[in-house]
Amino acid sequence: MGETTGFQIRAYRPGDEDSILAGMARAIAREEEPSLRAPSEAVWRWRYLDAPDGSCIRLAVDPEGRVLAHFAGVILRVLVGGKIQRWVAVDDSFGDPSAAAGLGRHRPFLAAMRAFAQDFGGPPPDRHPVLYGLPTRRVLRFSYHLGLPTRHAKRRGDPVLDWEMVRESCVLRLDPGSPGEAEVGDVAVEETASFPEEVGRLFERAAAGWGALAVRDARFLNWRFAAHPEHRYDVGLARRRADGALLGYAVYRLAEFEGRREGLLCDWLVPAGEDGAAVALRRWGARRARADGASLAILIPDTAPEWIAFQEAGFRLHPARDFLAVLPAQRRLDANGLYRNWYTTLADFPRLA
Amino acid sequence: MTEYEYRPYRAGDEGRILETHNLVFSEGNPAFLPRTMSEWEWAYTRNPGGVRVLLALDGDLVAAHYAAQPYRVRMGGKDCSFGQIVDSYVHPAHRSALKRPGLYVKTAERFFERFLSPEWDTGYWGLAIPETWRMGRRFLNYQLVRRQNFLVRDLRPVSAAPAGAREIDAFDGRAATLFARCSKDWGYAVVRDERYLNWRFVEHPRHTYVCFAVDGPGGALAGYAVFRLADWPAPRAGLLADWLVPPGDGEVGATLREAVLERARREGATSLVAIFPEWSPWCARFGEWGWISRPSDYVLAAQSCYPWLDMHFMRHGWWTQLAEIDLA
Repeated sequence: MGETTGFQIRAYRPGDEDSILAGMARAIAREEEPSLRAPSEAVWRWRYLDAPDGSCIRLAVDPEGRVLAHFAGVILRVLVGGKIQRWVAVDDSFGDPSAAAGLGRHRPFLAAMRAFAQDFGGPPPDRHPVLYGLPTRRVLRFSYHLGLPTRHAKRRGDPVLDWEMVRESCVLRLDPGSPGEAEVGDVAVEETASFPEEVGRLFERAAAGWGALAVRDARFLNWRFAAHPEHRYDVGLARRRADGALLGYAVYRLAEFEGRREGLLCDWLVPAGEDGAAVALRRWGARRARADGASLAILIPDTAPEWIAFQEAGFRLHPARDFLAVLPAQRRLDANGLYRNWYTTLADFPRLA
Repeated sequence: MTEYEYRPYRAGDEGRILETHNLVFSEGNPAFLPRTMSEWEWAYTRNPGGVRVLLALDGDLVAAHYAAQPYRVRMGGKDCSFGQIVDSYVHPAHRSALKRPGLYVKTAERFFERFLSPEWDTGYWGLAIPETWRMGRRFLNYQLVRRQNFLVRDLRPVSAAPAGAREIDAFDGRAATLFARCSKDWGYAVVRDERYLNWRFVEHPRHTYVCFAVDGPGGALAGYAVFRLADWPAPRAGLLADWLVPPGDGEVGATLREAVLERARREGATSLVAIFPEWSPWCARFGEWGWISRPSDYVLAAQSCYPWLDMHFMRHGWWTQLAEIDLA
């Protein structure tokens, strides 16, 4: 926290919402990507004040109380090598472009970005060993030009701006006319609007195959999906018909994604070996998307076994706009390690869908 | 401490460059076939794009070598030069693992100071393994364009070669017309003209490529595909090294696909491998044809001398094929 010329860096205080949202709307209007939207106050409050494990916010505020920059993220519990860490999904970051002219116009944003990384990033258990997000092209340029030590002959790089790229994002998409998959095994999909407690045991089974996976228990999932103030998600629970055991789940929503109307599989968790559940959930998602007259799409890492299985089921690869970037505090959690070992879906990015 | 002389290649350096090159790449690789002088000349002095080599010399010894193969690239209707970083190494006696930045980075920095500019090369790319990607990002300003996946297809029993595709010995002037037709919506791409294609594939001194063409109305070139059997990225991989077909010409594409499949099967390939940018309709089309996108450890990395020519631009506008990678 501190004072710099013309603005102060500080934490969120109740009552900041109006100024945050007004600044965000101005900033988004200037971005190159037309599908970006400023959240409503209800969504902002859900995202940052209601998140089950808390949030991290740094603001640049001028003497009149106007928010010039906002850097914020949601804390997610992540199971890493058998231990829980708290990572931060950085979701809404902006600098108000009308605050100043010339080169000084980015100062509040950079100051908020630096303060955020310095105050929240660092080794566990006190800090957050991974800050991650999907930065806009503008933010990536900051990271590239100011973060690396080699960019300027006379100035050292600023390590708290040196975000690493984990991967580019790709969508796997099934067109509405694609042939359906044949059913495998004796699995039924139960539709529900919220998650039962038993999903925690499913998560434990699924997590065994991954080096890093955000905890998908009922508390997190019901906040992420069931309690969303504006979006309606449908949850498909794949159960073995014989005994009702939970074998996997998927979350579906019809949404605008990067300017396209899609049936999105917003989350997907099926432990290795549960092929019947995977097929049943894909069939369920395809039926939902067909009924909505939309394609069915999912974002999963190309290092996941599902990446191949979805293609074999007829999903085709298409580029998505963003790059996944991280600011890691531990070498073993660098971008190369996370690329290979971290499972993510849209659920890990509360702003996206 | 050695005082190195850093300078670009001069005629007559070839012998000492090859000495260090063959020493470096034979380390721990009993199967290594030394590079010959004619191979070196093909890669550098005969490259239509020019020579980009920066040496660190200790007397007559090449202590470090940083180089690129530049190509003519069409970007928004204009031509410029872009290079692929190749053959970059340090002599074993001059490595200093604990010193940062070491001779490798210092040589690379001088290379970029000398050549990375609109007058020489607008940018460079390279296919990096994780270790070199980490160093390239940290010390040489490389950006990630994509984690490079391969489109892979297991081979199935094949019918006879299709009638519509013919093997050609060389490319002619019709290739440039086809390229102009295909590339009008691309952000940027290495220009596929007669000169480049014949240098890249027909005159290659080590590898044998099979070039298939389909003729269009009036004798035009409707599409081509280039195939080679290789042991990279997997043993007995059939590489679809280059592919140029207008996206709307599905029939031409299917004919070339069958020709490549038949040839791959005949040469004993166990799989076929290609790369396409995800934005290309051919990426989805090959998916429909049973090619599966599989991850690899490789990173396609690049840098440029313009801030706007960043990873977003490259990822969403750069036409890339295996032809863009010297390993293919």
